[in-house]
This record gives sequence, structure tokens and C-alpha cells, in this order.
Amino acid sequence: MNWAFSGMALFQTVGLVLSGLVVLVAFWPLRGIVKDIWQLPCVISLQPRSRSSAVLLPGLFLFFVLTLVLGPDHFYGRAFLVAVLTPTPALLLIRHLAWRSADPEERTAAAEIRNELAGRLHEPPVTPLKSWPQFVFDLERVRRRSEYQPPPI
Amino acid sequence: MPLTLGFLASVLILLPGLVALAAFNFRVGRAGTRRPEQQLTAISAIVAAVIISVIAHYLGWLVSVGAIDAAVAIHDAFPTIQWGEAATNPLLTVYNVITGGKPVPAREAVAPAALLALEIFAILGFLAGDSFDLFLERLDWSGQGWVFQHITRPAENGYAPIGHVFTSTMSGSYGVAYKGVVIDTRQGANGEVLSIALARPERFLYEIGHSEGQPAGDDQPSGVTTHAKDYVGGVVQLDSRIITNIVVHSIAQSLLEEIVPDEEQEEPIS
Repeated sequence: MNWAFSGMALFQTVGLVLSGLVVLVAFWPLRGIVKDIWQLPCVISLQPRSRSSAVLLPGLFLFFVLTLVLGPDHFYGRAFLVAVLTPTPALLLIRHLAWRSADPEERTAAAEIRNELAGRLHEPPVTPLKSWPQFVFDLERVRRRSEYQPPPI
Repeated sequence: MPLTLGFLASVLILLPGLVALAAFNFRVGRAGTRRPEQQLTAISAIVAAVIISVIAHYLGWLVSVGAIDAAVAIHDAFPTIQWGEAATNPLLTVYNVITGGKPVPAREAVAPAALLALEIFAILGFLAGDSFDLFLERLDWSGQGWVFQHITRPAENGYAPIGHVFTSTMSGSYGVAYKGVVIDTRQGANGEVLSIALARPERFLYEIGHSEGQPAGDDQPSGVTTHAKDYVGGVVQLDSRIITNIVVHSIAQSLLEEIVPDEEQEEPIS
């Protein structure tokens, strides 16, 4: 029963919590390569000028930092790390910028469309007081809906 | 087709493309209007599956090269971090198996399986995302034809497609017709309507020709008279066998709410 009093139990429990946190952090690049990077072409094509800089600036900054840390060799490795780590924060930044520049009417209209879709897909509803992950796309849906002409009666 | 190991191996290589087709069929099936999904034996489906698989494997190869190189770079910068010896590129392993025919040790075979899972999740993530939805929205991918233009698109853009369905249930010169918001249509392989469902419809009689003793007026030159409507409620599903014709008008949802303010919110359509 030596191990019972040696603090090993405490260390292992703390280790379990820490490894859980590490797994959560490891999901960031995984989410970037699996999901977020494929949203970028569409998001950029909606507003090319402002949004391509919102992706390029954090990406190039990350590349600069990685080159300082890892050295000038292994270009593919650094490019991979940039491609994997940039999309998630870049999408957050774009969403924040779009939310800042939208009128209250646009936010309300986007929230209405999102709630319509959310009701259909059994997702939780949103409020126009706070931005939500698909806000950029819902803003585009608002624009398309205002342009839409139904077939003549 | 005989189920050989070679067939299973080709399915494994084509798996990203097949997953993309399956996910796409599921997406299309989620809408209220539906046509039979693409058959796998259709030329376009095979071409799409092969192209998507090739692209997915190419990107997977790039990702593997980058990930291995990144691990080496981190080790070179911080020699205390030990990853073990550098792995072979998983797709190179697959290629060696196919061309060399030699069995791979289990610890090398795990990497291609993991990469395949990653490719599949990436494809699902792309197809389920909003960007693909926006890209797809204006295109009639499943070939629904008039149903797409007059029911699906208006319903997605805040209009209520109101359908008048005239049935072949006739008694003398009278027939039964229904009027309500179209919530679901099913189409056959050639685009013909198999059935149509109306939400909270009204039922009314239509009459061909004119009642006796009532001269044909100029206000009804077509000779078709409609009679008073009664509210049926619920959902009415009409089969193509009894449908004579369908008329669809798209009315703005906001206009409908103004006309019938006390009626509860319409059900989500399509």
C-alpha cells in the first residue's frame, strides 16, 4: 500500500485533466484542416478585398513567427502549420468584422433566416444581440433574398 | 459483380468520392421536394466519384507531406522533443502495396486508415457547410424542373407556394379541388410528379360548364366555375393518379401574415 500515500493518485488525476485539455487544444488544427479551411474560398469570394486581407495578415504573421521559431528549413512543414492554424481564427476575425459593419436591421434579418433554418434542422435558435457562427453566410442569404424575384403570378 | 478482394480495395480507394455522393444525396433528400437519387452506375456519378477521390487523395498526400515535415521541423528546432523515426507518407505506403504486392506491418497500415478517415471527415465537413449550401442554392442539381423554380426556390426565399390541385374525383360536371401551401412533392425518375402534399388546405368544388338556367356570362369565359371553400386542416396528400392538374402561385409570407394576422406561423417549408 505504499502507492496509496505517495501522491501518485493525485498526480494521475491531474494528468488526466491536463491530457483532456491537450486533446481540446489539438482539436484546433484538426478543425482547421477538416472544416474551416474549406469555408474560406466562399467567405472570401463574397467580399474579396477586405476578407482576403483578414486571412492573409494572420497567416503571414504566423508564418513569420514560425520561421523565427523553427528556422528557415522545412518550408512544407511551416506552410502546413500555417494552413492548419490560420483558418479558425481568420473565420472568427471575419465574423467579428462583418458583425461590426452590419446594421441592426441586417442583423435582425439574418437572425430571422437563421432561426428559420435552425427550426428546420432542430438547432438552437439565435438572437440578433450576439453573433453566431454562420452569421457571415446568413448575411449573404439576406442579400440574396432581397434580390430574389418570384416567378410571376 | 463478384465480391472479390480487388473490388473491396477499389471501393476503399474510391471511398472519398462515394462518401461525397452519399452525403450529397442525403442533402438533396433533406428538402421537401425530392427526386430519386443518382444511381451509382450513372456515368456522371462514377466520374464525380473518381474525380473527388483523386482530389481528396492528392490533398491528403500534401497534408501528410506537410505534417511529417512539420514534425521534423519541430524536432530540429527543439531536439529534446522526440517523435520517433519519421513515418512514411501513408499514400506512399498504399502505392507500395499496390505496385509491390508486399504486406505492410500493422503500425504502417494504421496511417493510411487514419488519413482516409480524415479525408472523409473533410468531405463531410465541406458538404455540410454553409458555403456549399450557398454555392448550391441557385442551381437545380437534382433536376426538379418547374418544381424547383415554382416551389423550392420561392419557399427558400420567404414566399409561400400556394397550390391549387384539381383532382379527377368527378361527379357529373363537378370535381373536387384543394388549395393550400405545398409542403412536399415527390418526383419520379423522369421528373413527373408522383404525389403532392398541402398543409391545412381548403377543399372546394369546381364545375366545368355552367349550371342549367344560368347563362354563360362574359365574366367567366373559360366555363370553369369554382364554388365556396371549406377548411379541411391538417395535411392532405394527393397521389398522381387522381391529380388532373396543379396550379402554383407564390405569395410573400409577410403578405400572408398581414391578410391572416391571427393564424399561427406557417410550418417551415421544404
